[in-house]
Amino acid sequence: MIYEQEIVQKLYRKLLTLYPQRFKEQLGESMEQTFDDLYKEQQTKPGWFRFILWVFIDTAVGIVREHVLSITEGEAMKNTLAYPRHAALISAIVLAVAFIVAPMIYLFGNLRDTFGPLAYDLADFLYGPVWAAGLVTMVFVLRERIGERAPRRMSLALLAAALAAGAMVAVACIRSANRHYHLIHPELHLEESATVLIVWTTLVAGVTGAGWHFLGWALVLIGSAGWTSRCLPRLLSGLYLVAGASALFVYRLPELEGNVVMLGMVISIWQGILLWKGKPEETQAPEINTSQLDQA
Amino acid sequence: MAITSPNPPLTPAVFHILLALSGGERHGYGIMKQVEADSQGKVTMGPGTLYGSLKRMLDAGLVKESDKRIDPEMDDERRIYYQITGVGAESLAAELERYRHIVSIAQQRKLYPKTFAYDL
Repeated sequence: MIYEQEIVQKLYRKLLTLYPQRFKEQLGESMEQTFDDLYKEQQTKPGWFRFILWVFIDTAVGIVREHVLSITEGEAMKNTLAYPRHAALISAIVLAVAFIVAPMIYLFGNLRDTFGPLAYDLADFLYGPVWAAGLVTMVFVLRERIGERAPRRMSLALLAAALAAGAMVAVACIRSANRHYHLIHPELHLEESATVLIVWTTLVAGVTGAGWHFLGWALVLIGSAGWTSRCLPRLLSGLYLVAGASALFVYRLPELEGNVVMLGMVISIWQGILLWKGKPEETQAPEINTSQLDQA
Repeated sequence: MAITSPNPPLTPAVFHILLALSGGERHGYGIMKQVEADSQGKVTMGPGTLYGSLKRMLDAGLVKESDKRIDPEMDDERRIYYQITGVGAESLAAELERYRHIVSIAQQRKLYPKTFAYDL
C-alpha cells in the first residue's frame, strides 16, 4: 500500500510539472500537499481508483486551462520547457541542418546517387517533421524569452510558425506518398502522365509557397518584436525582417527560396547561440515602458 | 463601451472558496472540505479547479497566502494557508447581496419557497 502511495504521489508530482512555470512556482507545493491530504483521507474509504481518476482528470483539465489562459492573456510563457536553453540550442541546430541539407539533397544529384530513394526520404523527413518541430520549438522558446515585451506579435509569430510547420509537413507527406505510389505501381507509368505531373507539381509548389509565406510572417513578426523591444541585436532583427520579407513572396518569386534558406540557416545558428548563452533581454538596452508596446 | 462593475459577479468556484475562507484561514485541503460542508456535499472541487481559481483570486487580490504552519487537527506537516483579503470580503458581500436581491424577487413573485406554478 505504501509502495502504491509512493507511485501515485510520484505520478501526481510529474503531472504537476506540466503546469505553466509561474503557476507551478506559486501553487505547486500547496497542490502537492493537498493531494497528499486527499490521498490519506481516501485510504480509509472505498473507491480508490475512482478517486485517483477524478483527481488526475481534474488536474489535467486544469493544466490545459492554465496553458490556454497563459496564451490568450498574452502572458509571457514561462512554462513547460524545463530547460528552454537546451531546447533552443537543439532546435537551432536541427533547424539549421534541415534548412541546408534538405535543399541540397533535392538540388544536387550526388547524395541521391549514393543513397537512392533513401536520400529523398531523408530530405522529406528533414524538410517536413524535423524542420517543423525545430521551427515551432525555436519560436516557442523565443516567445518565452522576449514575449513579455511584445506578447501579441510573439503569439502571432508562434501561430504563423505553426501554420508554416503544418504546410511543410503536408508537403513532405504529399511528396512521400506520391513517390511511393510511383514505386509501387510502375506499370501505370505515372511519370509520363502530364495531368499527374501538373497536378502534383502545382499541389507541392502551392503548399510549399504557403509554408514559406507563413514562415515569412513569423520571421517578420519576430524581427519587428526584436527590433522594437531591443531584445535582439539590431542586425539579427534586420536579418529576420529581410528573410521574412523574402519568404513572404517565395510563392510568387521561387528564386527567392535560396536566399531564405541561407538567411534561415544563419539566423537559426545565431539565434540558437544567443538563446544558449541566455537572457537576451538582460544584455540589451535600457528599460522600456512595456505598456507602450503591444499591450496598448 | 464596456462598463465594469467594481464587484462583478463571482463564478461558483470563487464564491464557494471565498465563503469557505470567510470563517478563517485555511489550507487547500481545508478549503475543499469546507466547501463540501458548506454546500452539504453538493459541491466537490478537485485540486485542478481549486488551484486554478485560487491562482486567479491571488492575482485579483481576493485572497492572499498566509504563513506556512502545522494544522493541529492533522499530521505534523507544515501547510500553506490562504486568507481572504478586504477586497475578497467586499466581493463576497456584494455577491451575497445579489443573491439576497434575487431571493427577494423570487419571494415577491411567490416563487420561493415553492418553485414554479406547475408545481403547485
